[in-house]
Amino acid sequence: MDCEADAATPTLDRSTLFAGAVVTLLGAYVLWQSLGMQLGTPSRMGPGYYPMLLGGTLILLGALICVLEARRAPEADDTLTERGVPVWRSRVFVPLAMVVFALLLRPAGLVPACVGLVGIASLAAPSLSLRRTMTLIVVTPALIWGIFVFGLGLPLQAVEGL
Amino acid sequence: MSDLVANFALGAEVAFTSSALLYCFLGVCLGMVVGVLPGIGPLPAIAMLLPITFYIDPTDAIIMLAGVYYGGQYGGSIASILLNLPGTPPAAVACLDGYPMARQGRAGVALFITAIASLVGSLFGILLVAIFAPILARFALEFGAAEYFSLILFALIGTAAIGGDSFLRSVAMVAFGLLLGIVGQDITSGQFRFTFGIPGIADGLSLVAVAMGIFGVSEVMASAHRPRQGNSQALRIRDMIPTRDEIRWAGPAMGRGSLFGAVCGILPGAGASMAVFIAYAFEKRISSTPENFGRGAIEGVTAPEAANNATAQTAFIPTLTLGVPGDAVMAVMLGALMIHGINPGPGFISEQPQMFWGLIVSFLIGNFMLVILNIPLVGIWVRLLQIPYSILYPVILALICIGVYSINYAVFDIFLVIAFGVVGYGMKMLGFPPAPLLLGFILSPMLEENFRRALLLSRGDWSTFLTQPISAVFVIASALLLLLPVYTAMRQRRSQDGPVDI
Repeated sequence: MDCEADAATPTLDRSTLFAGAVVTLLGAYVLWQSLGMQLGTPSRMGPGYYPMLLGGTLILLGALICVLEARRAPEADDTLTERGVPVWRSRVFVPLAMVVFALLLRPAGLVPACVGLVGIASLAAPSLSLRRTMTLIVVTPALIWGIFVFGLGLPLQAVEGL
Repeated sequence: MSDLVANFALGAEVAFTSSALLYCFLGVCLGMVVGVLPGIGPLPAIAMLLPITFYIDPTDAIIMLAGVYYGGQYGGSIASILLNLPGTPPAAVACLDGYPMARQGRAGVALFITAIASLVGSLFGILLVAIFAPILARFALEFGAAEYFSLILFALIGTAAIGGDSFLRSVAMVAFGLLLGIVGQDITSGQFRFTFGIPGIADGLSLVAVAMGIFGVSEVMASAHRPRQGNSQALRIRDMIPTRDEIRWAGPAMGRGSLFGAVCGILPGAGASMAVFIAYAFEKRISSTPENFGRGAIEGVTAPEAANNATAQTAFIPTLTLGVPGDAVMAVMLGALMIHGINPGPGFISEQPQMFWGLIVSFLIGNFMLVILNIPLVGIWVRLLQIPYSILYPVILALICIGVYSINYAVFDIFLVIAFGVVGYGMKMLGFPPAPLLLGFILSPMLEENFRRALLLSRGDWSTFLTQPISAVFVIASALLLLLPVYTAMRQRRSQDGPVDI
């Protein structure tokens, strides 16, 4: 049993303590915000009453996570244990690619937005292949345009100003 | 009984017209495709189809939209099994054992058995809708605000209790979800809550943005850099035939799953995500080989799949007979009916018998269409396995971006989905499960509304939740669910510390 192992090394799991702290802090923030709204009475609740209860619940849950769970570490997810440069490629390029899509969609049109997204998102892949990226850059905008503009009638220009 | 036959005959008249058959076929095909594609589920597809339904007959419209919904349930598990990427949120459970089965080279069997489980679950659900919708409508009419509050509370805590490894983390995510559900304008006072002055979230957070961010984007962020072996195996029809043992395990599991699914669909607010988790947890609990779960146990695939599809059918009961949608997709469906001037409620079946029974018969037709579409086309789905993830994920990201944009034509929603992707990634790192969050988010407005109304009616007397018998049952059940894991955790702790009083 892992109970014995825990008893031998009574260390607190740092990520669990952090998780509990995040939940508690979130609850504290919600509680503080809700107290700034009108609370009302149980029979005639104001907008702040329900958030106030939720804030209190979150604080309690965060504290319970710290107290009850910090000694037995849960099976760590790959997301947490993985280290190194490749992890950061996904972390940075995936959201960045979507940001580029969002910024290009209206001013430049659907095709440039898709090309930008695919070009940047491909940088996160385990191996860089020019041929694969080029194929994707051609196929993805065509697919998206076919489904959403041609098929579903989304009012978007393929390339703005064309 | 003769009533039922007459009703089905009436329904058949409606559902077998050429236009109804056409829209049913279009609906299930589209549902299948969006169910398979990770990142766009039935919800955005239905939302996008809404404007189109202005131009067609309301019965045909609802038949098509419903087809997208249950067609999506068939397709949802395919991506789960082949790619470990759920096509729809409830299909996440199909990953647990479906993906291991695929990696063992049993993808064909898994896909075949899920198609059959889907059909079994659906047929069971349809039967229940036809028999019990009128009866349950009358029973559910007795539900007041206190009952609804307690029922929703029970649904939330129940999902958390079975949703993940850590009960406390699941409950914390329910609470976080409830919090996200508050964002926007308070209905009673009109005051904006937690909107930070951002106009894009003044009407509340977009459900699709939250769901796609937490389930879709965070997954891509976690795995885009990982090399994935394209587990390509030639699949013949022979590979799809399950062994006698597999049938023996899968058959009863389908029956049990259908039952859980049907019940969860009927309870407003329980929904498919809850049904699949309950069905999975139950199979694991009663199995003589629970250690096989998570490593390709066939019961772990079939029971949730049957549950999922039974839910998709019975979810129409509360939506149509009460006007209370059980999940987000049903809420959109309700909106579609209201656009056509139809207000579902207690009188719906008696006032619109052609529409109600036509819909029921179209469910039957659509489900048989889906099985026929599913099994011969399985080769196409399996071929998806040969595509490496590094080709798929940019396309998935593009589909997520354009899908979330297409709902409100709002670029802001793309930024919202990115933000929730980052939140979901952080949750993954800290061991917080995403499904309870989504349920809390969807049910939060209903929970608050009934909470306030119940206490308004009782003039602030909290005992109202315990003096109403139906409500009391749900409150006590919720309390037991809450206290049990805390008690076990404390006992474990005490046994570690030795005899120390806390």
